[in-house]
Amino acid sequence: MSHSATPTRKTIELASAWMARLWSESVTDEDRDACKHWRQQDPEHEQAWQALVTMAERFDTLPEHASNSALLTQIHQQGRRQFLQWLGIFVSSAGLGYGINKTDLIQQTLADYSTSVGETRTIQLADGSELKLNTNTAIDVIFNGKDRLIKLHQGELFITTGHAASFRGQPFQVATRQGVIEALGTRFNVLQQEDITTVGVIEDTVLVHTQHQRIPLQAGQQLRFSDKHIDSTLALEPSKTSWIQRKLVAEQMKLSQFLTELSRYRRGILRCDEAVADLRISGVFPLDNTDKAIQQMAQALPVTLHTRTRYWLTVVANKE
Amino acid sequence: MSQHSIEHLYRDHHSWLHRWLRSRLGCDHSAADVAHDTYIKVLTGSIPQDDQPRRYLTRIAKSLVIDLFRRRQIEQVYIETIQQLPEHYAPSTETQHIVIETLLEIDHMLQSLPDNVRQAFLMRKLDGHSYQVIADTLEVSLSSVEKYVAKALTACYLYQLDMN
Repeated sequence: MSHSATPTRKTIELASAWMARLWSESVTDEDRDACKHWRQQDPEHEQAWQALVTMAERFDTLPEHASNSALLTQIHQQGRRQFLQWLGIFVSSAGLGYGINKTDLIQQTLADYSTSVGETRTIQLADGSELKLNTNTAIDVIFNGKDRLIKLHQGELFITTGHAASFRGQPFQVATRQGVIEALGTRFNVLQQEDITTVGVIEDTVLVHTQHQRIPLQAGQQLRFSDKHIDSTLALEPSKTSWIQRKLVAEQMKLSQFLTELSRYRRGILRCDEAVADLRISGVFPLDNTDKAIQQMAQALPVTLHTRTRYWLTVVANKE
Repeated sequence: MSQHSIEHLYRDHHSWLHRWLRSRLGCDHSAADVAHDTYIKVLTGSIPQDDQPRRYLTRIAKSLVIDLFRRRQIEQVYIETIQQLPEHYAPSTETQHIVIETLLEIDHMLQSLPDNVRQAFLMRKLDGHSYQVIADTLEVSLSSVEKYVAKALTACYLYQLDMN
């Protein structure tokens, strides 16, 4: 018997067909003879046959209590929903397709996009939706034929939902750690910070599902919520979506908040002395050049910049 | 991959990978395990390389995450099964371990197959049902059952080939 080459696909399929024939309760002596004859025709046939026999014996090693198709079928059918839940992804009440195919899962369930600090990125999805990812953002995109779900792990996302015909009737949802935002044909912005989600709506309506409440949000409104608390609905601040134009819009913004905003877009430490923290700043600042933004701020306010290292910048009061 | 570039891959991306996994698994311990296993796979060089290191690492890690999920599922269902056995039938820890490994392997071998094909094969091989019973259960013809079993055998064969 030669082991030099791997049997061809065709030979493997034929060996499988013979074995399936022999496993039948209606197998005849003629079948057995014909199978034996086939094996003797070519060493490659015999090699494939022997490998198949060895493989099939693996199944016989299971003890009786585990040799039960229901056990494996049960595992299989728990499927995708459980996988998503296991990953901590919110699953809406609409049923998700059963069947867990590893390749599909990798490509669909864990299709992820991310940006690093200072980077932005635009993604077109299969349904025609457009996602803009702001700095330091990570998302998973889950399209499974029934739902369209974006899991926002961190950072900020601007969504323009698409309306491709083949996706009609599939809810479009963005899940954060604090809740789920369901789009009703719309443009909106979602920011995930440590314990807080902030949603701003530009067009149409979204429905915010928190643990205990459902809150509709109209165009021109914004809402901040944590696990414990839901703020009142406010008018949308222009600064909330100006990142899309790569600008930071400040209107009488506290210096401390201005620096917190800017530090989302640059590496390292950016802070200020308490003495200047409450100074107010207004203006439009470039987000793709934070050095320049800081210089502009320093010219407008009575402050000095202290650079300890390249990654550590402190804003202090001007010396009298 | 050279020792040098693996060191780079580890130094530059390990903590990032760990965070990436933690945000998905919600469990620091599992994230650390999967991150570790990812680098083991890199070391053994079984996965084709990618010029983008993070894409390369996440591709390996994703596949390991799914393996981990399957293992947890199988462990859970199997433990439930043996809890229903009379006490003196309870398998030893070692047997349990071997069974879980075997079930995992079978699950892998059959996972790309359509439900009916997998079901027919398992009913024949594990339950010892006749083709007639399988045909009645799945509401398909006898000749379909035989074709399903053959198809599953081929899939198992090819899986083993890939593994070796």
